[in-house]
Amino acid sequence: MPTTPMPPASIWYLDNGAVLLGALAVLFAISFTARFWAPRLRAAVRSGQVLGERTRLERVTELAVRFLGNPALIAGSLVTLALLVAALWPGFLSPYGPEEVGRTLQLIDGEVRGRPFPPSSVYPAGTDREGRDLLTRIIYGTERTFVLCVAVAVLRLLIGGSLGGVAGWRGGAVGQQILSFGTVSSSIPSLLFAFVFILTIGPRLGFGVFLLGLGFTGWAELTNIVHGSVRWIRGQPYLDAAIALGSTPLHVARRHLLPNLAPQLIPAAALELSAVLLTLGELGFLGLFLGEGFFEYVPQVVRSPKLPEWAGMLSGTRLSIFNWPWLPMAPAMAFMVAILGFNLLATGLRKWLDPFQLRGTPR
Amino acid sequence: MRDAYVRSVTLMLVAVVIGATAGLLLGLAGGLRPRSPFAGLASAVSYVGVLTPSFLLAVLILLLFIRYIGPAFGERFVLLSPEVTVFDVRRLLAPALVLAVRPMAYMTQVTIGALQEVIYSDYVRTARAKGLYQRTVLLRHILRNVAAPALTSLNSSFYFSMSSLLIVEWLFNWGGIGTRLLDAAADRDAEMASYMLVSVGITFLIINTAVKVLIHRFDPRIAEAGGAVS
Repeated sequence: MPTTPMPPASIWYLDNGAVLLGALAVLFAISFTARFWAPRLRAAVRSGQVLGERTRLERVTELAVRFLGNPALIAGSLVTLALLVAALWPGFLSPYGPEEVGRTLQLIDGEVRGRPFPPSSVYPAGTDREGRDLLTRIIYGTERTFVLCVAVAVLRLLIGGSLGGVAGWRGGAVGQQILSFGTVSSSIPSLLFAFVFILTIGPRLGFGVFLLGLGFTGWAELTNIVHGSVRWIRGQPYLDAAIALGSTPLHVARRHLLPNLAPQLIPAAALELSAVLLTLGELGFLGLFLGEGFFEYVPQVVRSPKLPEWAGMLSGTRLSIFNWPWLPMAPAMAFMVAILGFNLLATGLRKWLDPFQLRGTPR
Repeated sequence: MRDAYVRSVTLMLVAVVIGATAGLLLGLAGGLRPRSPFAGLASAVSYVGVLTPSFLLAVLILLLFIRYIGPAFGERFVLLSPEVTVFDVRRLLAPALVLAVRPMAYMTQVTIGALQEVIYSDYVRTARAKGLYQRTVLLRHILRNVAAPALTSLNSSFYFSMSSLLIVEWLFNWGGIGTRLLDAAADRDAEMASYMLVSVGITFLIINTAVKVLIHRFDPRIAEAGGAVS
């Protein structure tokens, strides 16, 4: 029995898990059968016009069909939405407080247990050694993890995008130099680089060190993507026409480059988020994490991070695997779900934004 | 130092060979019959397998070995003791399996993707129409065209393994480059740490070049194009 009763509103989703799963199952059933109902729906709302603007109903239907017929996008945006809610209003989702400690001995599933408590109906994901609920700490830790993650992804996008843009636009020797610089930088895995960098500079310095250590590598892939697209766009006749008409570089960038880059860059950004998250988790597993980060991997010191953060929860759990497997498993599963969600989001967005997709009704 | 390097490279090679072989077989099994439920399952599993974090995988496999495989085979699996020689299969298997999962999943994905284009292509249909043996079509027409993308995926496989090396070596107490790097980092030995980093980078570049040469042998068309890391 926990010392304080669970807040009734936030535990709703645990008690009504079956309802939620049922709703999800219905949603995905609809989504996976889109092949059968989508053409019929389109045919039903099609107006008689052959040429000209599509009606509002047609456009709305088209959007709905494209969203509902894209299971990857649905799953990815659901996970992203859940993470967003967890980051913004953690109290809304979590069953307990982040520092709330249960009693030392509790009756769990008909058995008197000591700390750490295993996953059960009282503690959905188990507790840590101090008896704090892991699910709650995961939910409260989302914010810190994701602010860092998004910041690193933005930094990588800035570096990779600008270098790739310059390489693609200028071409020639400069482009080759930039590309080979990217190849060299990507030959050292970003986990190794980030590990050595953060440890050398000092993890106690906090956010900035993690931002730079993770952001300095891993952008080579983005550079390649942007370089390829810019090269391709550069060769298009409409760009020559725009330049011949005297468009300013800003106008060219805004009207011609960005809209054509977006379908590739947006999924790439989502993929980048998942890659950063993975590296962050691996760093955490090795004992480097944001917060009171410190590194002691030889002696296994029993400790727990004060500020909830996913990577921090993962650290120092190496030898707990044998006795308390849920200690590493709960945050690792959180990482897994988030990474899977972002990848699904990227896959879905790629399909959603695909410029060559069949639009509207077949003519 | 040399010992650590040999250990790491051995682990990586074993992992990538296991992973690539299994992935190729799985991909062929799935990709040759793209409508079958097995193909859907294979692509779904490989989608998840590529992005499973190495620490989750390592913990799962360690648990599997300790809870089930160890007891089933008696004390024949030595997992964490440091006093075993390099090429001991009992030690090598668990970390190699962890490192092999991502190459396997990636290889499956790539093979299925490549097969989707190849098996519906005109030359395969022509070859079948000519009445060639199924085996000849598979070996001469299909496999030769799958070889280039599959080999390209080896690059990424090595990259995956290298980035997971730190985690896996640490968790399984495998005295390779990753463990040395951690030791150096714990001792604040920046020189040693950077040696390790550079050695990893150079190894990767060597592998990259070797794979490119191999690809050139199979498919001269794509020798020049393409970035190093995908």
